[in-house]
Amino acid sequence: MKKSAQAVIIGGGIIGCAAAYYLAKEIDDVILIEKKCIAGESSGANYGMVWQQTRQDGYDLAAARRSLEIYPQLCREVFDLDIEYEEKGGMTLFFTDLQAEAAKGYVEYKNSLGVPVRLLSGKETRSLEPALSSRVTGSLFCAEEAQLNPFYTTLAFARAAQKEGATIYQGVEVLSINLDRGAVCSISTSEGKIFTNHVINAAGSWAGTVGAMVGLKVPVFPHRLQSLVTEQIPKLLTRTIQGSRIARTSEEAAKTFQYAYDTTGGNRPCINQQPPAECIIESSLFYAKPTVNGNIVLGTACDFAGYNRETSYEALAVIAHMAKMIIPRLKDVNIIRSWANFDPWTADGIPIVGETGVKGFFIAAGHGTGMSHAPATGEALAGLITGSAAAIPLGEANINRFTGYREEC
Amino acid sequence: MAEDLVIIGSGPAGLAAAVEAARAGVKVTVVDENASPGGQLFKQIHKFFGSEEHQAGIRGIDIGYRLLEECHLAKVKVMLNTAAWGIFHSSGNATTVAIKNKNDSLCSLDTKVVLLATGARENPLAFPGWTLPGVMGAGAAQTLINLHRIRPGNRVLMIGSGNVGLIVSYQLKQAGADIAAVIDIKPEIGGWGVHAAKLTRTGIPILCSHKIIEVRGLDKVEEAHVARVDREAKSIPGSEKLFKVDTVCIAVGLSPMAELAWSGGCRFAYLPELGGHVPVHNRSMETTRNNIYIAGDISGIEEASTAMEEGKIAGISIARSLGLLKNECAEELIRNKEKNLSALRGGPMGKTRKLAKEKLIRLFNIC
Ligand SMILES: Cc1cc2nc3c(=O)[nH]c(=O)nc-3n(C[C@H](O)[C@H](O)[C@H](O)COP(=O)(O)OP(=O)(O)OC[C@H]3O[C@@H](n4cnc5c(N)ncnc54)[C@H](O)[C@@H]3O)c2cc1C
Ligand SMILES: Cc1cc2nc3c(=O)[nH]c(=O)nc-3n(C[C@H](O)[C@H](O)[C@H](O)COP(=O)(O)OP(=O)(O)OC[C@H]3O[C@@H](n4cnc5c(N)ncnc54)[C@H](O)[C@@H]3O)c2cc1C
Repeated sequence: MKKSAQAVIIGGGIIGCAAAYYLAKEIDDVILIEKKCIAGESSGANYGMVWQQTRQDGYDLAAARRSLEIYPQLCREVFDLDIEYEEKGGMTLFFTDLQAEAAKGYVEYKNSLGVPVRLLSGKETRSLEPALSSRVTGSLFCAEEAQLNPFYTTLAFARAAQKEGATIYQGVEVLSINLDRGAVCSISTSEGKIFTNHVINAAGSWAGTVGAMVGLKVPVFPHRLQSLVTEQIPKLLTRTIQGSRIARTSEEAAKTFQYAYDTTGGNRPCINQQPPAECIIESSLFYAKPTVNGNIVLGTACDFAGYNRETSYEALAVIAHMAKMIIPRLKDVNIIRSWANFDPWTADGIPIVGETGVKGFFIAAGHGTGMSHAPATGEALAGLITGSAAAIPLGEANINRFTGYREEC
Repeated sequence: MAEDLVIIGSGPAGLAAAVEAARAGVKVTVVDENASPGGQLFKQIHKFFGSEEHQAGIRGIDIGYRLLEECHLAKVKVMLNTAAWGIFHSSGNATTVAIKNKNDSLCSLDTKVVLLATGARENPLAFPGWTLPGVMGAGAAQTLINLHRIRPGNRVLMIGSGNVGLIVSYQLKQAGADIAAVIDIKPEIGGWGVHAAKLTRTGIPILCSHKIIEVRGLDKVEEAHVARVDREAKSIPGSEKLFKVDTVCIAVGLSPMAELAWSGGCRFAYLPELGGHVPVHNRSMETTRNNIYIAGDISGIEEASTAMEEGKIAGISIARSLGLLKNECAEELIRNKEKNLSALRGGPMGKTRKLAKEKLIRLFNIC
């Protein structure tokens, strides 16, 4: 293993691999260290939606829109494998008239932010996706959204990074980070020590563990999501759909389009803010993603269960039930696999990206929608480290928005 | 907590376990996806092979009736048309078995212990034309003739000369079909001499060192092309033969049906002698996950007779773990069954399996 590097990235998910690519373009000697394998965690377990309609105003939306801009170019000029990037638009379904009412205001608000989302009636929705049940009373449709294959995309970034000269070690775990007078000077791994002055914590749901290596509290928690995948079947869906929570009262309806589990109530999030305790499996959003191979990936049921990656009966039954309700023809389709993985979670639903109080220690973690953010995140982070101009401002995503993040941990 | 023991699969392993456990006082529910219980047994209209004191000479179907009768007497609950699709660890020490019942709705059974006795599936074999109607597993053909009384075709090519290939060929012949040939890629017949002799006596050719090249037909099987192979299993040019057949049966081995054990988090080992990936288990037939037991073909492809002995060991061990059988008493019973197993695993073919099974148990203790 190499003994030194200009920068070491911890984590071979989509965020780490994108960061490695953009950094390697600018500087020599970039090393990425991954304890399992590339895309072995969240980045290989997700639905590959690159969406903007669900993103919050500010950094979150800017990163998603910038990524939607960059991906096509990456596909044309950089990636040496087909990441199955398809701009088919994204669709959020709803099921009651109250939700249709609430959607009107939401569309206006989103349009004012520049998100070209449209309100479709039930009939219009079914003309785009005929397999949807008549219980769907309408949808929000945004044509400028895409889907991709998450494995291939993460791998494509990793390969592009290697082409630019980055070195990737898989099956190697970072065990500690050593400081010299408050600044990063080296890391110790399961395979030896590497001297470096720049470390990027791209450890996804494990960002807290890595943060603690330099004495920082990084409030990212593993949010468990579960999925089912069907056998290959003749085409049933054209694009990835999201089903909202069914809302029967106007208060519920008003919350239909709140996506992040924002537990801050609009306040500055606190470093010790824990994920909500209650079980939220039943009220989870529904997703159905048609893959290029003809399988349909179905999800989700979310809860917080630490790092327990077992699936649960309740969750899988809820997903199967929602799938049957929303796409009745799935009733007789076989399920071939199921899995659980972790979506990195933060209290305000915004990732943590940027420098920290520890010199040379950067964070790019806590992405609830890393597929939609990765190119923009990698680009901005590389800019920050090399001192070039930023395409999107990172300020809002800095860890210092959490009060007390430098407390002892 | 509703159940003591849920057994998935009502083949010889599942039923034998149910009887032993229920007799010791365990509350047992057996689920099976089929409309009738018995697993493979009710298709086995032939007299069983195996050693004498182990019901050799009795027909599989009769062993099935006997087991069902015993289950009935021991008050075992059997749920048919019920497929199990998942095993989950629920709170405490309980296990949740997810099932789909006959109305197609999802539900679950909470239980203290689960026994997986799901049997095996037939290995597929891919060749040009293998998706044409008329190409099927030998087990499927056997189910059609012996359970449903439907002859799948009139002229059959059988691929594979193991016991399944030989027995099913004979039974197809009894059902009125012509067997064009039994072919095998290996240089010698895979199954028992008695079964092979029965076939050759009726004039059915068994062609060793032959493989299937292609099956052709417009919208169903019309002809099968086979060729002789050399030592590297490559076809020898000029040796091609054409059989006019309407059915091609595939009997190229079985693989343990162990998905539920995967999903339950059991550790596996790869032992080709036992059919591939099998869950590691100990002497009590318990897997590396507490309270998940296995027995029968899922723990290695063998026979109905060994499946039943393993099932009994599992049933006894489970009764002991639930406090319903004293340890000494259980030990004695188990030792007895182990002796039977050892006898059943005699002969050159049995020996390979015996060694593999011993390895599987040794692996249990290595983490
Ligand atoms: C079911 C599901 C569906 C999703 N759908 C979407 C979607 O449609 N669109 C979207 O944009 N997002 C989606 N997401 C979110 C997306 O998957 C994540 O935002 C993204 O994968 C996070 O990437 P990451 O690189 O930060 O984390 P990860 O992919 O988890 O990578 C972190 C890596 O760090 C490694 N690591 C940790 N500690 C160490 C250490 N000490 N040393 C070395 N390596 C270490 C881990 O092994 C891991 O590989 C979904 C998530 C889930 C679970
Ligand atoms: C053609 C042929 C001839 C044979 N001849 C002999 C012989 O002469 N002598 C001999 O000893 N052996 C013989 N065998 C082998 C013997 O039949 C098997 O070894 C034995 O049946 C294995 O028993 P089992 O209980 O493990 O599995 P099975 O008998 O296969 O029973 C498993 C049961 O579980 C059910 N099941 C599986 N998964 C699920 C699920 N998820 N949910 C609900 N139900 C499920 C299946 O439908 C099936 O009913 C023969 C086999 C074949 C195919």
